[in-house]
Amino acid sequence: MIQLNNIDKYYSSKFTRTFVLKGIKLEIKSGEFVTIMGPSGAGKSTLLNIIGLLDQPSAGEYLFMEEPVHHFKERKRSELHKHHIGFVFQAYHLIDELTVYENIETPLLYKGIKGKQRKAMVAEILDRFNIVAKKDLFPEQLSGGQQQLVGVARAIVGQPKLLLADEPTGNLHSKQGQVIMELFKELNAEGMTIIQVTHSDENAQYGSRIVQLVDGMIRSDQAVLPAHPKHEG
Amino acid sequence: MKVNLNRGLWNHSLKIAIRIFRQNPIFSGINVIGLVLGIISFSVLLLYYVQETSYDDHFPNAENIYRITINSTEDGSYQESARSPIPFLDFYHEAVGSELVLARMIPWPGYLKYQANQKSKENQFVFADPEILDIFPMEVRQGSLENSLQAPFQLIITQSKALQYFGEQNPIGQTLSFDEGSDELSFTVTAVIEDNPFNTHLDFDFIASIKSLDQFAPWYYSWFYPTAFLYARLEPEANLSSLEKVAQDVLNTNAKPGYLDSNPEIVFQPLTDIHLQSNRQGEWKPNNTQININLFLLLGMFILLIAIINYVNLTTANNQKRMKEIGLKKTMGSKRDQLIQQFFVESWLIIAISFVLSVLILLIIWDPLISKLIDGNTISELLVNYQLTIWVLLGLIVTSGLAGFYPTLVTIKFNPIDAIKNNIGKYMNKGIQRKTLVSTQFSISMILILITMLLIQQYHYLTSKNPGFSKDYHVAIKMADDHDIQHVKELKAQLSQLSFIQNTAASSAILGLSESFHGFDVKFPDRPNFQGIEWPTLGVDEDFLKTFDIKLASGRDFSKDYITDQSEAFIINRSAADHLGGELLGENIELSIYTGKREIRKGKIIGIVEDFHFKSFYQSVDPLVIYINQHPNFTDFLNIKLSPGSMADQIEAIESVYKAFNTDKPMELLFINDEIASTYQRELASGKIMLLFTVLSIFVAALGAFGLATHSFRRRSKEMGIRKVLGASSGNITLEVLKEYLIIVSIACISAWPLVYYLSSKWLDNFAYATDFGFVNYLIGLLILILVIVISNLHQLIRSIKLNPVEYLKDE
Ligand SMILES: Nc1ncnc2c1ncn2[C@@H]1O[C@H](COP(=O)(O)OP(=O)(O)O)[C@@H](O)[C@H]1O
Ligand SMILES: [Mg+2]
Repeated sequence: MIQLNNIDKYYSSKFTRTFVLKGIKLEIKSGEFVTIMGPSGAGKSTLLNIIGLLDQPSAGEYLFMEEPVHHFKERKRSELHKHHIGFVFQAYHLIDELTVYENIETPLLYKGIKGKQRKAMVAEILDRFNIVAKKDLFPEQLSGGQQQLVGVARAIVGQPKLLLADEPTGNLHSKQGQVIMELFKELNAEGMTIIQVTHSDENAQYGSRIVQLVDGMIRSDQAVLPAHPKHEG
Repeated sequence: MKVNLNRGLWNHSLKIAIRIFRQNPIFSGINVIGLVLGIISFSVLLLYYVQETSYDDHFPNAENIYRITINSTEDGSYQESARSPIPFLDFYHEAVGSELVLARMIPWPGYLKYQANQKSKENQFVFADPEILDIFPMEVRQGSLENSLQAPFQLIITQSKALQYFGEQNPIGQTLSFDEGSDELSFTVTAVIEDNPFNTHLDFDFIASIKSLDQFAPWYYSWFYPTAFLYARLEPEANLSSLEKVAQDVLNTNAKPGYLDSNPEIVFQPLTDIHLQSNRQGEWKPNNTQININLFLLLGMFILLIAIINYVNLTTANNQKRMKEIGLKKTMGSKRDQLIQQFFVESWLIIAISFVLSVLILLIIWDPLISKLIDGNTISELLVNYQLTIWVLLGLIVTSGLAGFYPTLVTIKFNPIDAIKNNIGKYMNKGIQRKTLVSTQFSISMILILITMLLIQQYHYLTSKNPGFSKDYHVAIKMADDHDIQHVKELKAQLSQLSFIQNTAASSAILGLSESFHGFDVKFPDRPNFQGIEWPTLGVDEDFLKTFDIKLASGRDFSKDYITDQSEAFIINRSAADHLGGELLGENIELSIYTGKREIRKGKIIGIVEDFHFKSFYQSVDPLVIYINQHPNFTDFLNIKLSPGSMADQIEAIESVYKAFNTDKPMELLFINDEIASTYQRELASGKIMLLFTVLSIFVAALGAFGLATHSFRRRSKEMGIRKVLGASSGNITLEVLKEYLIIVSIACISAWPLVYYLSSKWLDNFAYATDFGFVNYLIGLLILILVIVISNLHQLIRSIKLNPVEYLKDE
């Protein structure tokens, strides 16, 4: 599904080039649940943004669903993004002025999904995440965990093939974090490809593979041992 | 010590001012520009209002001075005249002599000669009773007003005319000769007076003693023609209504029976009401209307309001941002109080800067631009009237002072805790106050846009509507003197030699110029019911209808082939025919013409022409009688139809022909199109002022919208980033940005449209022919408003579309 070949990302200032990512080679197959780890400033978010087609690499090839997206124009990239990718943020990034319902509905509006179907899709997600009662509340009236639940609901309501999550539990208590992780696991089991960034080893265990990023380079890329005991929640 | 303190304060304020401008050049710039434009517009339009309401109130006892005018009704046609019959004064004086001072002024345009063969047309030449100097005391520059109008051929002239005719010489005792047909009348200058101020309804450059008329034109003493402006100054305790009643009685008992046929009714007009309330036949000059100046004052208030709303919106938005920053840093307390203090200083500084700038700009642009635009005061005249200046300054200081308070008050109410705690209530009424203010701005803009469109459209309609005669290549030579009138046929013949002249025709009136049409009695002997109607008449020669391409409905045109046409043929218009009804061709008709004495022409109707608008489109077409004018008295114009091509060349050629024809007088040439347009001068002038200030007000509103868009981008950039991540396209983002204006524009339409609809139908009722100001115009107004919004948001719109969500969504 995702194939990165020698991806570089750098920022140029007057005389110097600062590399954020350097020579990234990474292949992620459909249905994988990959965790990217690494120290702060290693380039994890940058990598995730490139994969999510929000940012462009400075050099290298990126094949997304077999398509060479590094050749694509902005418009076509955002079309791909819109239809296949969902994003979850550490700071939730819900729209303050919109209710829970409206927040979840927004990506469907942009995808051009018509009224009845849209309602059904939102209703289904609300039901699944057990937040029907909260649908008319504004984000500020929710706890952090509830907000992130809405964030995930909004990311997956359009049934994307790929879910990207940048430290989704970073602002949450571990209990709230577990709920999100369980959810990810469930979604992955249903076939959704997930790439998450996290600092927590515990959370990493929910995935099937861990990529270590240090100074913009991949230090290691290992499968999570299935035998490893999972923290029971 | 004291000096140091002041300097310290001054330095401190200055430092703050510079700091605000540095920190927020856009907001401060918009605020200052908007306020400056608002203050300037308001001051100009307020001063215009004051100027127009000040007419004639500088005369001592102005409140006791009246103009005596006449309303008349004859056979259903009602007329309000600004003037009265000349003999009336003497009878009235006899009846009420001690209770009031009475004086007449009789306009008598003519040619004045000073040096040999140098004649110039003087339209503001009047004959007056000496008492006029009691009623309207004048400032003497040279000579004395004592006995200055007592004897025949005495003449008072204005300062600028003295300069024109005598230069540096002392005019007192010198003579000017007045061309009166074969006579040359010699007037002796007795006094030089100040020019009339612009704010009087009076309009004269020369006042000659009325006794002069006894000497050379004794026929002036007539109940019919000419007529005089008649003024009366009452004693303060005099009873107006009894004086009016006496006047009516005097008129009814002493007037000639023929004159009383018109059922004259005396009306006393207060002097100071004339400029804004009087619109009678034969006014000195076109007057203004109260509605007009109210409209302009309202316009000024609107622009200032729009600017103040900008100022309040932008300042509160900016203050709140800073409060929030302070709040977020959780170091409120004293810092917050300090900040509020600073807000106060800053608000006042912005206002003070704008204020000083406005005054400076006004001083600079007043004379070259404004005084021309509003046809009034120069700045020095304004400054002399220091009371007015002080009032205007005071008004502005109070208004802007209040405006300075408001943003800080709003900001104090805003609680920074809300900003941190993300309180729910905040979103419920978020920006409601700001949206209300912006809606007000756009409603006002919509009203102004539509009213301006209405004025322009109606003016265009009036000047471009087909009047039923051709006029685009038409000029007319005004007959300068008896020589011209006697020899008009020769002039015609000479002009016909010029290849580009298509046609020429003599006439007694100019088409489109209502006042040039003489009304005479018409009788239809075959129709006893229609005896003695006064209808407008037009004396012409045989080429007139051809020259103006006026269409015959039935019958025939005048023709040189029928020698009897010259005295026995009449053509009437369709309106006259409709008035009478039935088959009119060949019927008998009698027309009374005054040629010094009454002459009655008897003849037959030979043709009926389609209605053409010989008067303005204010009125529907009156009945009209056209006859061949043989008598020289009413041959006032020679109309000429030119060819397409260079007007200047053709006119030059005509001028050289005329120069040889009349070696004595300069040629006076009228362009028919211009004369018609001049009828609608008021619409044009109002339209121009409206357009200018509407554009200004929209500019100020757009500045505000631009400032708010900047603010809104700052507020919403993160949200736009999120939306982009969620898949929003450029179109989605554009809609999202403009959605904020949906309600605002809707409110603007809902509040402005009905009001404009009401006002426009009311205003258009003044015209017999009105443009159709339909729904399309409202849509165009809406479109203009949307365009203004889009343009003022364009920069932020592009920023929103281009923004890179990654940058705005960094998790800190
Ligand atoms: N616009 C930018 N210009 C320059 N440097 C940047 C920019 N954005 C990110 N960086 C740098 O790139 C590096 C990687 O950032 P990021 O991908 O956010 O790291 P991580 O998510 O692993 O903490 C950081 O050192 C950061 O300072
Ligand atoms: Mg990061």
